[in-house]
Amino acid sequence: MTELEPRLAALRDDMAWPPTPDLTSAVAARIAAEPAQRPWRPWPALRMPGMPLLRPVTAGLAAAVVAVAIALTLAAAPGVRARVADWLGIGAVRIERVDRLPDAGPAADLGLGRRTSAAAARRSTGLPAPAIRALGPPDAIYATPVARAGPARVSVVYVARRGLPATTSGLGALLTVLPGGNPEIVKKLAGSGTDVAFVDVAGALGVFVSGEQHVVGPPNRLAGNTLIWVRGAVTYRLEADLGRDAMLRLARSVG
Amino acid sequence: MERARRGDPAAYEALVRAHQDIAFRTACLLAGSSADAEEAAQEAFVKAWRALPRFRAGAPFRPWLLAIVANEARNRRRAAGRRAGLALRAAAERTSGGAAPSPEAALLAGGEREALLAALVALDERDQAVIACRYLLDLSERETADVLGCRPGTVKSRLSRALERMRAQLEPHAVEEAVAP
Repeated sequence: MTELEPRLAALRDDMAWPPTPDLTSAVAARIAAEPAQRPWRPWPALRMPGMPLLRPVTAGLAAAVVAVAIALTLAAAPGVRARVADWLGIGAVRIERVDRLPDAGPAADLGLGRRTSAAAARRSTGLPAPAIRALGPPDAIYATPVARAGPARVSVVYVARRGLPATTSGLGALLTVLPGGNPEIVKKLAGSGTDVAFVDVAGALGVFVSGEQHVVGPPNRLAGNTLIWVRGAVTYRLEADLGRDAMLRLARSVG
Repeated sequence: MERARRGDPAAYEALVRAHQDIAFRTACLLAGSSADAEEAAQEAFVKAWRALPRFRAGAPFRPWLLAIVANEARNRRRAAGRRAGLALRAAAERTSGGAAPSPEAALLAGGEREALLAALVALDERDQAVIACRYLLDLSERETADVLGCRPGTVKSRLSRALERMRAQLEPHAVEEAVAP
């Protein structure tokens, strides 16, 4: 019996593959209908402390970072179609890089839901309602139960005070607690002047959004520095007008 | 390649033309139907075009493209709940049906071609895929690794075991031939 490998190689030309369709024309027609290519601009400064530069495409960091995808156009906000280069999902938050931000200002209504107590918020949403221990007891807690308007969420509010300047929302700090998993519950649209960096929040994967204001929704409003992290099946989003290290200190004291 | 990376559609069209056969056949192998393979290959070329600005200059295009093709083909196969390898079987059946033999195929005398194909399609999907990638599609170890989503070292060990199993499949035929009058 002769060696198997040469016999398989000889079989190659005898295989009756289905005839190749005219892919060239089909692909040419499809790419002709697409907007012009633009030079790739990577997400800036995607770094984990102590780790080399990471990009969402290659990091493979954790299940919480669900994907980086290419999409040519999609509805970025009602009435606005912005060309989107890529997106990053972390927990319940989807961050999209856009060429231009939709029109938005500081919202009069933050859409926080009904004011309630921590215990009632836990009962109605099934989510934790933690305090930021470094800031003391919260000034207010709001909850949006599942049945009211979309996914459940808990909002823990601290008013502005010395050392905790007011953000664009008028609050000192806003901690939003969301169910993890579906990166469509909160959408952030970031322009080129907004930095998005991976951070380590006490062993949990986090993303710090800083620099120029971005748009967060729904409802769409401008937002400043924000730290997002995922712990277990829960996504935390902390918005405050503080630097990265101060935000990380606050995040580590959540519980 | 550089012109295509800079967004020249004509240059990319030339790349598609040069790679459409291997892309379609790879998709056939993994999608399990030629209709899905066509869709998968087309979609892969479009996705590759969109991702080209991020493609590292100087890197080989074919393994990268075939990895995208394989991903698209597997997605379609999963969506259809179909087993892989059907295209290979169909090709084997058509070959058995008497296509005009190439000079190399003519060397495969006495039903050996049919025996080889029968042994190949009798293997499980993973063994079929690694043998088909390396010998029937003539992919390199690296390309095979990209298509199958594993390391080149895994391709080597998987191929070695698959060939052993194929030899075992062929063994009865060899015995029959040896004892035939």
